[in-house]
Amino acid sequence: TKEDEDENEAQWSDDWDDEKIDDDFSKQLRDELERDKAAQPMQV
Amino acid sequence: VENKGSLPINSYTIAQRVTYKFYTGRLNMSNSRFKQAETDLDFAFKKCTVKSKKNKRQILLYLIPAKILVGKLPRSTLLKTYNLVQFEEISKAVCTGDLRSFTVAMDAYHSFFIRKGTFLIMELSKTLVYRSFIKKITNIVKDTKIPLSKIKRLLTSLGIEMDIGEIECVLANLIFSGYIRGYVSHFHSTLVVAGSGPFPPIINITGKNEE
Repeated sequence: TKEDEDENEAQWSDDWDDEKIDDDFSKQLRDELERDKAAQPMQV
Repeated sequence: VENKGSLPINSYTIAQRVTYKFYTGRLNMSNSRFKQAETDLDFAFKKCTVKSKKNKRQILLYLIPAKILVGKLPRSTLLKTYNLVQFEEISKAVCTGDLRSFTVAMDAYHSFFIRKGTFLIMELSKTLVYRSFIKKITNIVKDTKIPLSKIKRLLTSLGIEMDIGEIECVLANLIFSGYIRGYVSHFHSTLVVAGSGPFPPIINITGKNEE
């Protein structure tokens, strides 16, 4: 039925696997990497 | 479960076929044939009438893990409709690579998944979380070489304590299974990912490993 078809539409996402790095978790990782870089002794 | 020698599949009612596919799907799942399991359970879910919400939810308990393993994540509207919030954080973690929220969610719903018999299958999706985690790091640092010590520090910042050996082991498994194209230099204690296409689409890998 029409009702069934509508139900099945677009319930899954397969386009999530991209290069996005602007979510909260990416930000958290980036901050950590920055902190890490700052803590490294200067190379002579 | 083979169909050889019996009546053609379309001589059965839709309801019978839905039941049949539900069980072949679950069987394929327990035999680690996730791509086939996804096809069977997807059929069952689509053909199962919307009026039997309870049955559809029952199918989703297995269809969602199968879909995740082939790289398709459930949308939150679907999870809300069927009251399956247990999958919400885990799906999100597969996408973002957030290993900590994955672990927290797996701990929280541990007994739910055990009761449904899907705990070990859900644990398999951790590989995908690791893949996203590494992918995210390579995208942030914009480099193909990542020292294992850097990965270790990032894990520590998430409250996950792993030694270099363990990290190397996880990476070697990701590479061996095809989730990452690259190698681990044991001597330099560094992960080196391929310059082009270092993270092949998940759907290609899950299928390949089953052949």
